[in-house]
Amino acid sequence: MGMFDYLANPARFQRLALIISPIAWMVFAVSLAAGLYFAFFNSPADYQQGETVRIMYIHVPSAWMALMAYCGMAVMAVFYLVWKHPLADIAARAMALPGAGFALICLITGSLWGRPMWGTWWVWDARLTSMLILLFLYIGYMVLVDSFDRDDRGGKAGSVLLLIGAVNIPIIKFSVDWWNTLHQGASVFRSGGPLIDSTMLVPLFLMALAALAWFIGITIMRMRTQLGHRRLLAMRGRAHG
Amino acid sequence: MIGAVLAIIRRDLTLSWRGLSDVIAGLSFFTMIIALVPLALGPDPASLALIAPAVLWIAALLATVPQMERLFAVDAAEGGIDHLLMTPHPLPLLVLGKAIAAWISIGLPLVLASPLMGMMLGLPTTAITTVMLALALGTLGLLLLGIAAAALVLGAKRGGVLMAILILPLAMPILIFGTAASAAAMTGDNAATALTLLAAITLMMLALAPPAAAISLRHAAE
Repeated sequence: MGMFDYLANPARFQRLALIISPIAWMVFAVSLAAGLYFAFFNSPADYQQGETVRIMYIHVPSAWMALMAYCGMAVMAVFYLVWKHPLADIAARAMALPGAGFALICLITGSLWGRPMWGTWWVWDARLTSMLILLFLYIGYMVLVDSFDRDDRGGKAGSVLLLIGAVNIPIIKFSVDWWNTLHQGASVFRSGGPLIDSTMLVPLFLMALAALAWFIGITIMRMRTQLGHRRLLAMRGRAHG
Repeated sequence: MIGAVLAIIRRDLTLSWRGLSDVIAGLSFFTMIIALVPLALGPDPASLALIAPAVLWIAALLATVPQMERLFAVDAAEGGIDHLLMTPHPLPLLVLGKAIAAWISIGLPLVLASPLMGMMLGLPTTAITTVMLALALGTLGLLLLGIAAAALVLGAKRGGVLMAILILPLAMPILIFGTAASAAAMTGDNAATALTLLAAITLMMLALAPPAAAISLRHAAE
């Protein structure tokens, strides 16, 4: 817990944020430029799916990030419930909206991809349905933390909800898989190595890196905004009190 | 310790028996939702029988969720939660007692009404025991989830809608396996797999929900 104790000091966090954010934004810009170049000009069209396969370079990183952001929030929830430091709550709240955004982008691009490939904008397939439920979990969290007059009460309720959600996500995933599947199975992270050709993996991972760097950059920005906001409220309270 | 849990169950059941109109309102809502379906879909018996398990389950979800918000309402208003916190008994166990009482007054009436509602929708009589069993397991899981959510939203500015968006995504597995068991029973297939999985999820809720609700109750009382 050394690192978290270290970061728990807001002033130290601010100093570290000033170092990490420019790096994150730089990585984002470079990997986005390179990723887009490979995605559009230097990767083959799929032999079955044609040019539409390029949607994958937005769709798949969004899906990864939507899950990763929820996991990150669940870890923050543990930190907040156990060590009770407000910074963990601020971090979880900061990740929620970008995470929900990734889930939404994943659903929209999936729908745009589904139209030419499956001949329909939407099918009630297992993966689509799981992602939709994940989006609802994000929305539930955001509404819940915003429903209390006291920030700490909202943060604690939200953290408990995140942990209930984190335990339930594998079960939701399992039940939805059991219910129906039409979507292709996992093809990158599988035992025996990826099924996708390396010419497609390069832009995929570059775009995933861009998404991750953007997420880190925006999370830090949102955290700093929130810290500033709370400080302002505290100062105003002191001035009046 | 068991005595304390039984005392809580008895107290909550007495309260809901004295305020019987809540139980009747919940049950009427359940039957109303089911009555709306033929009006919206048309009275064709074949298509109604086809969707009967789905209608029963959606009606059960919709009829229970609005009632869950009030699981701690009386206690919060009258200081009962502080008393729960002050007892020497483990709080999750006391919460479990409240959940069982809530299931008896909210879930059980729906289970008992389901054969009649099912037959009105054309559900085959052979499927009725399975549907009742599935609804009994499912509503118990749902109320456990609901008691955790009700503790989460104590003191929140938003009420009913917030409960619905918290509970419904997490209730998805219950809905899936509950309808699967009911549908299997209808077509004469083996419903045991779906029922077992439904029971597993309810057991998981049994382990997870009371501690989560206990933590939230402590937070709310701070």
